[in-house]
Amino acid sequence: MRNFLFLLFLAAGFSVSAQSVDADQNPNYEVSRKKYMKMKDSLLYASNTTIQETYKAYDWYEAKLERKAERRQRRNQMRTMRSLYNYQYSDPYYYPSNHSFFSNFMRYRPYIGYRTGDWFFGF
Amino acid sequence: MFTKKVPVYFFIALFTLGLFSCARQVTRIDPTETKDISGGWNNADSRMVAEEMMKDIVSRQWLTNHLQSTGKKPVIIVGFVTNKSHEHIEAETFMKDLEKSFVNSDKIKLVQSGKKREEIRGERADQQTNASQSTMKKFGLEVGADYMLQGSINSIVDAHKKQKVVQYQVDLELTNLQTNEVVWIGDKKIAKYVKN
Repeated sequence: MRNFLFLLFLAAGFSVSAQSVDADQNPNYEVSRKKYMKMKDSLLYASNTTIQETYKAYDWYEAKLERKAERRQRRNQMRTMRSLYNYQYSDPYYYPSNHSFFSNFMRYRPYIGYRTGDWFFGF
Repeated sequence: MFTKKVPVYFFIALFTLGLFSCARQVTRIDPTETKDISGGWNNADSRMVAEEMMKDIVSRQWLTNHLQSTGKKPVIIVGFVTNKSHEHIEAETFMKDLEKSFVNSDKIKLVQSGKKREEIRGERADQQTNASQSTMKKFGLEVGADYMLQGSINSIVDAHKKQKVVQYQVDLELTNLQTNEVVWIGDKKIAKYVKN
């Protein structure tokens, strides 16, 4: 019985201390406290770090260099693709392969001619 | 005999010179030296920001006001810095200088935050089961901060053809944790003209 009374007294004292408010404190402070106690870990995840929210600034010169690099890469890719899939229409059985010197030679043979749109006139 | 070998020596010397001239060269420089290479954010900018902020934060009225009202040194915790510029900038380079100045000034107290604080709490938790009772550190006795330091980095870029003007603005704010009152704002603007 004595122990029970002691615990009751302790619990009552604890609840009084938890509810004590300052003179000018908002009586609804508990609503906000509960809300932020749940969120504190996620709110403090970036504490003492730098959050990177960078943007890409338009720079005429850098954009030009980027376009140039892109163009170079595209042309290189096109050249590679063309050499890999360039079937010789005069020979319907031709298929490019890496096994013979001749096919390798043919693959990188320069073409001379004129290209307009999808059409290529040359030899 | 010797005259016949002269061209050989000459070519060996020339070859050695050619070999070493192609190798990468590394020269150590003073960290306080300003060397602008690309025109981007560099060590000199970080240092300038740190110097400006350190000078400003300890000389402003908020510190005197705090000491007068509480009679204690203010305790600061560092929050996050948002980099909203066009470049990747790590604010830790100048924030650490600032934190160091707090500790060395003996006017401001600093408490740990972020991942380092988590690690300290982890170690304290480990002590609860592994350290002797006389040396074990207790939970719930950390110093609560009075102010939080937060910041942002912004930039303005004006570029046309091969010319570019970049302005960086670093803002740091100190806010009272109890009242939400901003007691100090420090800023540093750095402008650069870059011609390619």
